[in-house]
Amino acid sequence: MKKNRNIVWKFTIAIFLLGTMFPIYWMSITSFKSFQEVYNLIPKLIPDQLLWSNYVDLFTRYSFGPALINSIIVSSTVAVSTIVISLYCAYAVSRMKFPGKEIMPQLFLMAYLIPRTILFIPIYLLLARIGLLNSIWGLMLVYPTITIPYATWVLITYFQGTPRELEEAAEVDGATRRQIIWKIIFPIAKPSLVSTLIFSFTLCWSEYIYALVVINDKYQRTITVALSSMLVADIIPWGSLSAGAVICALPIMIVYMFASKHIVTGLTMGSVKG
Amino acid sequence: MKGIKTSSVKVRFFSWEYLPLIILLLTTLYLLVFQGITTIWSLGVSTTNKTIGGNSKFIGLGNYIRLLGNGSYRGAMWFTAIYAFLTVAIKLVLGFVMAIALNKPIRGRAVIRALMFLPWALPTLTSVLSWRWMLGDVGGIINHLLMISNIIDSPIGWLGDPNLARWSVMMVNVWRGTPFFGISILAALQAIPNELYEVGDIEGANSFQKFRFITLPQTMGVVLLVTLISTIWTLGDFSVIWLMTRGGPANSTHVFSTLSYITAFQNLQLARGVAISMSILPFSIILLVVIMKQIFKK
Repeated sequence: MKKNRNIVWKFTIAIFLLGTMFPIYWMSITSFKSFQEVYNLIPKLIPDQLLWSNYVDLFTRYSFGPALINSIIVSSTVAVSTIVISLYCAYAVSRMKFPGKEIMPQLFLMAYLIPRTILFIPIYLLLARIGLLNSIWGLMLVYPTITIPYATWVLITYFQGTPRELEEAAEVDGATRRQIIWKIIFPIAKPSLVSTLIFSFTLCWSEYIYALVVINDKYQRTITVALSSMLVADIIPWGSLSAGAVICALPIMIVYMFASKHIVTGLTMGSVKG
Repeated sequence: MKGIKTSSVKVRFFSWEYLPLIILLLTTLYLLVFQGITTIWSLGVSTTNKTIGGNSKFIGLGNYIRLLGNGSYRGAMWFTAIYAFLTVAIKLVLGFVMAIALNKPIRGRAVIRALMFLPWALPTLTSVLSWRWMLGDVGGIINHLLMISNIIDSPIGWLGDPNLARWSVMMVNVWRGTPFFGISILAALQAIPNELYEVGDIEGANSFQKFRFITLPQTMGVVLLVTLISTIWTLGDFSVIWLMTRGGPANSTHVFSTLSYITAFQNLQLARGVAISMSILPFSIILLVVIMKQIFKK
């Protein structure tokens, strides 16, 4: 009886794994197939040979290069500045006294959860008014509205759960606030900061709707917009699209291999733990 | 004496000590401008007849009234509701099963767990592209597999038929969203003290009773929270549907977000588009309030 039940669970896990991994496998393998093989009426589960031609096409025929560079610039700039700003904000909320302090965590969480599809037309109008449409500067101005609330919220919950003895001791020794933040809090909070940094990066890296409405220009767009624009052709170039989808997933896969624990904390927003 | 003391106190308008507060203040202002004020402003825009590149005139609730009489708007309203309700329900059930399965002592659990959470970590675009390609009628692997196992005779146009298209976009949403439930519920399961189950064993409870009287009540808080958060995200989902079907075929898969995008940016009726996108605002506010209450109840 007990053994039977165990087999049922193993079977369940096998089904889940197959369902999860097959689409990822299929996309990766398609990206290495030749044109003929991609559109063959009888798809091959394992291709005869692995080719780079789809990747080459992606950069030469679909000018993916600029988009990739834009995405890297936007995501890393926003992620790094988010971490610095959120570190200060979370410190202020959890360690300093000021009126309205109690509602700050709520405010940040609310700002994170509000659906982007409510805000995307207003944001478009706002950027149009200040002349930042069609440029990655516009995106860099807007993306922190997604990343800062998230990162600050996670860091606030983290700071509220850490003891302050070290900081108090340092204060007695006459350390300034800047020293306390960078010499004491920063090293202790590093794991938490790394995971929020990673997650902020991936939020920008995969962002779609703001990028879609803000940017039209071929040389200013990000990877998500560049790839989705390839979907409107008469014959959809699935080989190159798969290559693009793989590149889009690559940084996340890499980070995932080395720090899946960090990512998982990021994905549950640190709040849903208990 | 008194005079000396006063002169030694420097009156400074800026001090590094207050830098965190200053940054917090600026950040709050930034968020208020980009989220709060823009929302209010756009509620204002939705009471006009503004078009892209055109002038605007105040028409009160005209947009909203006209929308209610509009077939595609009512269609989008229906499908938004169905999409959010069904996918969240399915994600919840599958996520619970996933969490319980992952909580069993199995070899290689850490790796399996990491792999299962991958769909949630990947960019939406990647998952949608891969599913759209698998569902394709030319070279699509799903049709091929169904045909060689004799379930169907000829390829199915998964995204060409209104009903199949609806199920397809919901399936992609479920595929992507289930791990979020899985991770969170798993964390809650692992926090249940083992003693509770031991007591259950002593009292002779069977596994269903243990699930009903120990597992469910102990995970209820997390389940509720995750369900609410997933509902608010699903109500606002755009990417999955837009990248799969663009709301087609025959407007069958439009939700508020995709319809508002088309109205504002392809038909250039900006104010109307805003009115459509604002339709989920009341529900979002209610959900936000409940989520806040749930998280900050202490």
